[in-house]
Amino acid sequence: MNNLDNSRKRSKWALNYQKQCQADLKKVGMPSRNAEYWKFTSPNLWETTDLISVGEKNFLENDPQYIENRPEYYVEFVDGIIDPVTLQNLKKKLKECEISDFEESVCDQFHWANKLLGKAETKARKSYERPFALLNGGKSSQGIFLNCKESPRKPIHIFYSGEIEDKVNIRHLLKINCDTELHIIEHFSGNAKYNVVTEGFLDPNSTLNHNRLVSRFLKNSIITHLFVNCMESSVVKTIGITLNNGAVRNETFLNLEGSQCDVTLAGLGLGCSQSSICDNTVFVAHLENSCKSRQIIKNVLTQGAKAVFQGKIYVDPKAQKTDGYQMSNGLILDEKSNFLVKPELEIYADDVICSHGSTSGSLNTEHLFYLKSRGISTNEARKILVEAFLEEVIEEISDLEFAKFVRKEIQDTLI
Amino acid sequence: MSNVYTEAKKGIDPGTIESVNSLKEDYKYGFSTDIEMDYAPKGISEEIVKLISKKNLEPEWMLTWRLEAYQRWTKMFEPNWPMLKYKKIDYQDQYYYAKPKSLKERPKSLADVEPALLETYAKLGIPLKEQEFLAGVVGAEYASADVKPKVAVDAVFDSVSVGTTFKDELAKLGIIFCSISEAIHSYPELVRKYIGTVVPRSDNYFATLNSAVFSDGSFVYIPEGVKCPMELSTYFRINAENTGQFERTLIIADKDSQVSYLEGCTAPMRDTNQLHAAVVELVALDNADIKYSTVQNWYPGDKNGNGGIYNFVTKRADCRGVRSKVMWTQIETGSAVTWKYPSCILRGDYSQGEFYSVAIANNYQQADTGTKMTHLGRGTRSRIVSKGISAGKAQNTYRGLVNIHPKALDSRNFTQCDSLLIGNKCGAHTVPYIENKNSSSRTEHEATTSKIDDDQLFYCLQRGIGEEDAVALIVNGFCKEVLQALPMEFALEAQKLVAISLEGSVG
Amino acid sequence: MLEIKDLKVKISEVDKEIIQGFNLKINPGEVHAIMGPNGSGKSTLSHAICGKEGYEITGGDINLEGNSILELEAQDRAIKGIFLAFQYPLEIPGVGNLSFMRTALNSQKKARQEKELNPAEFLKLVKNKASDLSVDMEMLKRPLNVGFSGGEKKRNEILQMALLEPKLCILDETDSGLDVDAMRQVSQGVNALRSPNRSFLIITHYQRLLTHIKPDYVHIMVSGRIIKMGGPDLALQVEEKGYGHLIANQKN
Repeated sequence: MNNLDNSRKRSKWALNYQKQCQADLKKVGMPSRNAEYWKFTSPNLWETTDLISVGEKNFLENDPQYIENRPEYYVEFVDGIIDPVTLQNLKKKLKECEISDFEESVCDQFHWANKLLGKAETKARKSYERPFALLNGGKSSQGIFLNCKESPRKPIHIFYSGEIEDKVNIRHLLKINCDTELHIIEHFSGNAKYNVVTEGFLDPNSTLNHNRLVSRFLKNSIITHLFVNCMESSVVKTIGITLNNGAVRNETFLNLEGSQCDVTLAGLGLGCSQSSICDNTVFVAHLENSCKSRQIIKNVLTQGAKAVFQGKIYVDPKAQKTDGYQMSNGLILDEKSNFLVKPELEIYADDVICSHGSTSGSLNTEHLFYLKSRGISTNEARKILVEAFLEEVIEEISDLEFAKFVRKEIQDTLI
Repeated sequence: MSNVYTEAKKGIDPGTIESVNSLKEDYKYGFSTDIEMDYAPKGISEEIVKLISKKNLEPEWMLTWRLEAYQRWTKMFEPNWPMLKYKKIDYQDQYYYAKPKSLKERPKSLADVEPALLETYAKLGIPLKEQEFLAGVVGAEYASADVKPKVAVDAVFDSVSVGTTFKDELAKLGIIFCSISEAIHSYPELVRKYIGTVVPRSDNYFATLNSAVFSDGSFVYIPEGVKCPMELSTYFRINAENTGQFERTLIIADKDSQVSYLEGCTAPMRDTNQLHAAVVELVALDNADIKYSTVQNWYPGDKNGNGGIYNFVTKRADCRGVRSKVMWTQIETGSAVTWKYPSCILRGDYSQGEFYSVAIANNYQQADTGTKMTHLGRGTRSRIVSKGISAGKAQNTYRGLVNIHPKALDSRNFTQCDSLLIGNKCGAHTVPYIENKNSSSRTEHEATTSKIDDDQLFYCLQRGIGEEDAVALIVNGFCKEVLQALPMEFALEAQKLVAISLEGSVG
Repeated sequence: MLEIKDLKVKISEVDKEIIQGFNLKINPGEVHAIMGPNGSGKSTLSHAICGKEGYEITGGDINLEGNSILELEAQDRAIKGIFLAFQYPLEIPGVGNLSFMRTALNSQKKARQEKELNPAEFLKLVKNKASDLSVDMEMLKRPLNVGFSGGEKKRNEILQMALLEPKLCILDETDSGLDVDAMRQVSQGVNALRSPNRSFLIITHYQRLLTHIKPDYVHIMVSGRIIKMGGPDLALQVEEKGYGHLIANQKN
């Protein structure tokens, strides 16, 4: 597991990309507090410069009971390193997709990803610079590359677990072929400082269903990037559930390059401590006609928690008949919490319907009274209303089992 | 005394004109025209700042104030965050005092004046003689008013009209309404107490520039408990050509007072001064109520985007007092580039700020405008209604900030910001920042972007209304909430202006 | 059952005393109607009885079964048996109608140390009661009052009343926004709940609801006070001559 050895074996295409990232990062520099997209959240929280150096891991030591509770399709990253057993199992079970881990992929000169790596990222950088993704590009040696040729029966889960509190860079690449659907569910529960970049390439008429759960036990800072390039009639549904006590920044860039795409982004944040930050920074680029995009953000804040939403709908002159929608709601439950939003529209086509709304405030006192007048206690009434507030996002989750799990997690967090 | 002139400024008592003539020799402050002044060299330097101060016969403290601002300005940079693209401004290639127009540069007659401009005048119903006057045709002012060159006429006219016709009525109430240069002489303690306290000299690049070189502007003081009986400024229609470039306005409403101020340039000036950087400061003390309405129709440049005014304005109100209230209303249809964010600092408990805006950008115009509502006091309220219309190849941006401080308990904000696109070569952008930092406060923001509804248009056309008129009708409907916030006499003109601004945008 | 003595109520937000010395006594099984012109303080009274925040009791007392309830929070008053059918039932997206009703019923049962109902038991109960009010399953599954018509909302209120079996039912302008058929349905639902142990306080602007739900007493409320009391025929008198007539008489 020596990184130097690995990089020596990398193919030219992968090495070129890595070097380009390092060079670009030098040019661009890490973001400062003054950078437009870092005004609300300090980039220092994710100041990751080093890659972890973990020794040999004995993955078999994993508690079998634990593994038993894992779903059918899954891979696990323990302390940022992929558990080879889980990968082998997945490869065996999942015939619908071609799967390889990061190092395998980049050492293969003719790997299917050789024309794709970094391409969605480059497009995302046109909206604004993504230094943390560049940092990841220069450093990562872990991740999975998945070529979806037929639709898997069930969602594929990715677990990030482990104890060490170090910095971890992980890079995934997803290619979803015509007429197929891929469902990925990520679970963050490890202690590391993650910097994850996922690039998705959607062929015409394909679907990416993506869920991300950041556990309430998590204390460290996480930054995730999801850069998706959509060809015509493709569908994206990405839902992030953030229940942690640390800082989480999710940067999402959806590039609607084909017409008639339909994308939904939903974000749910439940912040219950002063150290909790939930930052959703979203850019949806409508480049072709007749696409539809929706963004739904819900944050509940107590104990001095902070939520940030920076969401932009960009509509190119060519993107006539665009239907863009964006709604962000903050529920602030105490005097110390902050809800900071910047919902942006940048529109260059006229035949469009674009709207955004944003509200913030405390629980509706009329609603509280209605519930209390029926004999429900104040605490219970508040819980009911908070859960109801978040329900709109949970309803978007298509995997019912996962939705159930999320509801349970939220209820446990609220106690 | 020419009737034409009197007619052109309807509403102005002929006696006023006479007063202008009789006073012109003695009038000391403001723009006592001397010829050298017209030839002050281009560029900005300490010398120029001193010259401006000297020409205005300013006291030492004012000069020091200006020089400090100038020093700071030299170390500042032009902001690059607005969504505006314009040719880099050469600040040494600008006039900072007096008019660059010598008589020779002016059009000789209306035939030399750009036809589009004249059309606009005609549509606004401005009499021919006044059209000449506004377009700056040589001799127009001599023929019409039989007074000295118009630089003087405007300024004197302006100050005197107020000073004579309404002086008695306003003075009886203790209201001060004069040019700021006059106020610096006559009410130095008031000016000194308030100037720069709302928009500090260090505020931003353009405000700092203004602080160094401001030419003139208005000063209003409404004493405690007084409700100003008239709209102030209908009489300011003309003054803008001279003082407009670096105008500085200061309005103070003392406890329990009320005032409505109109800043209007409803007749577009033909002005070769590209750079305008005004500063407006409003101070509202306990229970005071200030309404500030603007109709801005500076020269927007021609159809191809040549010429036009760069308008960089800093307007801010400080609601210092408990239950004070400020309402900004603006109709922005002119200028090639608009950079303007009339704001409210809601410092006093239960103070209120309102912002109503219509911004229309056609052809190659660019507007980046909006507001900042800073909630500091308890129970403060703000309301923002912004209507942006883009046509031709124009770019129109709403940029706003709502910031509710942790101590501003029980505060509310409501924002509605709608954009309308006419044609597929223009852009409409919305950049709101909303920061709520306590749980007892509420914010609500809604924004939409759409084109003119085809069904509405069809309905109008089916009833026999021409397309251009139909668009004007629908756009006026779209802006209604804001237009209604204007004082009556402005509302009608504003409606016409909306229609004129959109000409050529259909088809 | 309910006794209100010299009650004074101030709405905190506007700092204004809306109810100024109000007296009322309702015995078990009685139906009282309070009628009055707009702005007479009828809804303020209902909110004050139920303990809504923002209504400051500046004088007097409210007793339920002999005990003052002024110190109790809204939910505790509900548990004691006070039910308010809202004039404008709240729409709460995200909260299922059924789960809301079950939570309410079980909260009350728990507080009274009664056995809580499991989902199956509850469903059985609710279906029984719902069919009487022609509330169908579809309505029960929808989010609380969201997208309900005016009639559906009011029927849903009465259904909750039937489920929670309160001692004192307050109907705040329940007739507003109802057509003739809906009014009959709602009234039937209410009448079915009448019993010797249950009292009703019906707040209304018009007489029409009172033809369906016959009151024992009618009170006329003006400017925060009862100015006249009588039997059902008083309501007819109002219908005929209007409030102005009564107010004028009062002044004489």
